[in-house]
Amino acid sequence: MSDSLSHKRLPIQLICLVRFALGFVFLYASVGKILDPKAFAENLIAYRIFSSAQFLKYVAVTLPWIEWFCGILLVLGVFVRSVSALTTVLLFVFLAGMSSALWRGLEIHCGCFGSPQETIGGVSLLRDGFFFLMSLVVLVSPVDPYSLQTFLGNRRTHLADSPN
Amino acid sequence: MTKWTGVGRILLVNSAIILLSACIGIGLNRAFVAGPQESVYSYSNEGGKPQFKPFEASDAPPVPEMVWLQDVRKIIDSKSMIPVDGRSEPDYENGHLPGAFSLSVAAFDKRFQEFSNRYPKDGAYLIYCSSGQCGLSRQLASLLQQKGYHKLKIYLAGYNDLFLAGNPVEKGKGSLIK
Repeated sequence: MSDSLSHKRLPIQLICLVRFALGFVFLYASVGKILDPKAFAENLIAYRIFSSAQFLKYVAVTLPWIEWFCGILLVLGVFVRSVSALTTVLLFVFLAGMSSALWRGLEIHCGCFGSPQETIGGVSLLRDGFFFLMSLVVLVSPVDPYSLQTFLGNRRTHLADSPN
Repeated sequence: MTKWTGVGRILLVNSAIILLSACIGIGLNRAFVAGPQESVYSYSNEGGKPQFKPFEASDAPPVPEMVWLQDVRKIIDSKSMIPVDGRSEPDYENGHLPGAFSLSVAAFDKRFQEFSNRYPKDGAYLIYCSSGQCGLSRQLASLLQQKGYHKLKIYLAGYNDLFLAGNPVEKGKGSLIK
């Protein structure tokens, strides 16, 4: 039902564009963290959420690869519904973490794109809020025809329908 | 046939992504994750490049000796130096080196009186902040030198290094309790 509703509201090209953009954002965000997990771990310490160093290190080395897989799968258009559900949850968690840090008056580096320069603030929240909305759009929209999964589905149907 | 949008399918695919990410991330960073390990480098904003060697300064007063994780462990165990924390007080409360005194650079003037009442000028002090990026340890060392404290060593990689290596840290108000 949500598929048909969003399909009526948003042109399919726009859904495809949003999927591509979100995928590239996740890919870009993951690279810096993958290359320097220790710097990312130090950013995570500053949030004062983790009391266990070991758990924090697992998060610091795993999360960037989750972002990388989400990014590449969104760009290719594979498992789009599942991946967009994961990106929506991730972005919600990021927003909650940043809001919590701002609420506690912490002036810390965001760690959002692996860059140590950006301090969290209203801009970071607005940007991640926008990405969250993009992720929701992909989640509730029908999978666009330019995705790899649609292409492979059509091909399978075509082969099944052909007389040979 | 199971519907593509089914919750079970979503959970299955996402579990696979998380599991695969964990395997790759942990596999590629075994030395970092396995901890405790010896820290061999720290980061500095100087020139925007990783700083692999202790910071060198050209002007007086002389820069205190830099120490690394292995030395810091010995210092903590032997209690041969008093750790002095240059970070903000909330950071100190969140976690600090065992037995550390909170002497935040931002609140130096307010806290120095208590510090000087407790600790003599000829004592040995281990200065640290959060990491090589923060720079507060060098500022604090400079401020203490101006006040006549000269037996100083700097733990450049700082609290984050000790914490990430899985060493015990203290939490709470510590030296902030009056």
